[in-house]
Amino acid sequence: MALQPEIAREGSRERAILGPDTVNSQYIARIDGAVKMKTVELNVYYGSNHAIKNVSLEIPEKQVTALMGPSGCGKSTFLRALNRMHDLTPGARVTGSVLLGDEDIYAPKEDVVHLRQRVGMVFQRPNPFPRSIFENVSYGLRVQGGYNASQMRETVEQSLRSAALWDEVKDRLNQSALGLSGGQQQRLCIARALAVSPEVLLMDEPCSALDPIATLKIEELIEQLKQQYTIAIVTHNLQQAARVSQYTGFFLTGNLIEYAPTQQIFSRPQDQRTEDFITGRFG
Amino acid sequence: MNLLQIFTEIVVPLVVITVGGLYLLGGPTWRQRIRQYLTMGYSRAELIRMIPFALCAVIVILALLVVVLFVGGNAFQTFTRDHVSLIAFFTGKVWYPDNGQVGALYLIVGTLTVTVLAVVISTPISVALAVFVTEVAPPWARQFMQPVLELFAGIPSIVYGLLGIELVVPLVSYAYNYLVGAFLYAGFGVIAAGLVLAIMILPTITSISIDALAALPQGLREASLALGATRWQTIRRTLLPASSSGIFTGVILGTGRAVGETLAVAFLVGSNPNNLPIQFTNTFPYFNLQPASTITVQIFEDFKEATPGSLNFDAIWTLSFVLLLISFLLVAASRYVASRGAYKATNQRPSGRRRSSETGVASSTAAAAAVTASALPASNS
Repeated sequence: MALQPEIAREGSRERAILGPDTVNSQYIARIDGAVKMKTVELNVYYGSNHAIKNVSLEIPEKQVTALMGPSGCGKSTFLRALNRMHDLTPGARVTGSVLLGDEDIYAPKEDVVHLRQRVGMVFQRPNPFPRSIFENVSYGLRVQGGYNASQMRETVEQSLRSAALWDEVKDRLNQSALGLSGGQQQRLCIARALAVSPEVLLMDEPCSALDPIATLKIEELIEQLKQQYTIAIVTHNLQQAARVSQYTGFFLTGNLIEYAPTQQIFSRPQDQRTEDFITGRFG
Repeated sequence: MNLLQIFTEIVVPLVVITVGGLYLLGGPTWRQRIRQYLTMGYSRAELIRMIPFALCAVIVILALLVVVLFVGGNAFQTFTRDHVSLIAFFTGKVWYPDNGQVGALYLIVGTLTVTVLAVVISTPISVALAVFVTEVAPPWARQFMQPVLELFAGIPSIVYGLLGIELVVPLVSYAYNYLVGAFLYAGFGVIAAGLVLAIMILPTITSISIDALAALPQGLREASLALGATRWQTIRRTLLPASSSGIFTGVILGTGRAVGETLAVAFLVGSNPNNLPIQFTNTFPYFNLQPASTITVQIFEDFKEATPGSLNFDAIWTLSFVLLLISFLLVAASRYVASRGAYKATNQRPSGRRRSSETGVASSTAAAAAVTASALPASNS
């Protein structure tokens, strides 16, 4: 059952509404413009551990939303709730709702497999399958079925081009993906996610295992991808959040403390804790 | 002159003389090289501390050498002293050592049939069980299954043999006589032996497959599911291929156990060395099941009556040498498979450097391989 979010967007020129200073605040993070995904009073529990506390947040369409915060603040947990990756974790429980368009993805009738095709994910560590580059990228199509060989080749090329990897690997599509460098592997994982043409791309610290040059390439890639895709990226790198995103959310111990346009959050944060974090006083 | 003599009287002295001669006469360069090679750059004090450890290693290696040379030396008596030709031994169909006939073909066929039957029955069940335990069942199921599998593996083979006689043999007999009805078949033969062996090797294959599946990085599962694959597609298209080398290692080790198993098979197989396990005919039902024998069973049966120095005695050693070779081959194969396929570039390392020895699969298999290596020759006697 979809909870109807009681968010009135019109009339609020205030970019983000700041909640009261209490930890379990009822803070609703709104945005201007088209909303692609929206969480309403989202809670995630691992057993008795309350990892995400009542987070309501809107993710703008075809923009980059960065989620930052210190380690263990729940930003990755939040991201994984957006395509129901918690279904895999024993003992994890999710309440509240996540809307993709108008659909509640936690509704009982929701098809998780279809959802994950619409909401792709790139993980912290590059995790290519131990197979050829071609098979990695075409994996999503093959599990869907119904594509012939030429369609598959075309999609693989397109996806690899979108991931800025085509020129580097076009001559060795049949070699193992594990032979690629870390940065290439991560771009391969992005290409793999793009191949099923998702609407939203979730990235869970995609650069944390990469060197600065590979990181730069991924960031440039994100810049291009946002023309077509809605992107939500978790990062513990403040500069990265500042560079790539249009909106930034700050998480602390499972609470969404502040959510605002990136420029605003980095130039005049409204909450003391956000300011402490971005000025390096903790985290 | 047998192999042991060749080794002790030719190879060892040659090596000692060459190395010693080079050390004494080869001048400072050779002296330096040999000393460097022997000490590996360690100081004298370190070398002295290493002596007990080195001794243990030497003893183990010597023990293995003695086993191989002793069995091999005796085995070749069949061909050298008793003048049986190699071809006659491996292609002869009559095993009647008291009569001078030692054709081991049907024994080898029996061993192969029993083993293949056991592996073919056991592998799909084991893999399915491993997939269920690691991928489908809740986490406590794995903690429950591991000791259960160990219990299974620990049941003495004679108990399996007795159970087989009481349960499996009548079942096979009943099934055959009901389905075919051509003549009364008592049930002793490769089918019964293969079925019981399949149960015996099930824990081996299952637990190694569980280890292989559990050693896969969690990222692999998530990657597949995040691309919209169902759980079943993830298992079939990603997890099973990625863990195939580990699973295959389990199958090879299970094969090793099936080849070497004696007691349970001796109870069930019928112990007739001069029958093919299955005889094909031109009339209905086109095949007959008959009591047969295997290499291990025949060693077990014949040893009771063999006198040292007779053909009977030598032929047994030749059979056991064949078994030894098979088990070495299987261990070598399992090590090769484990080193090659086992999830090579660990995803823990983004640079993707290859060191298979660090994966759980490889180490667990290596340990298992070592266990079988010692268990196989032991189960022959």
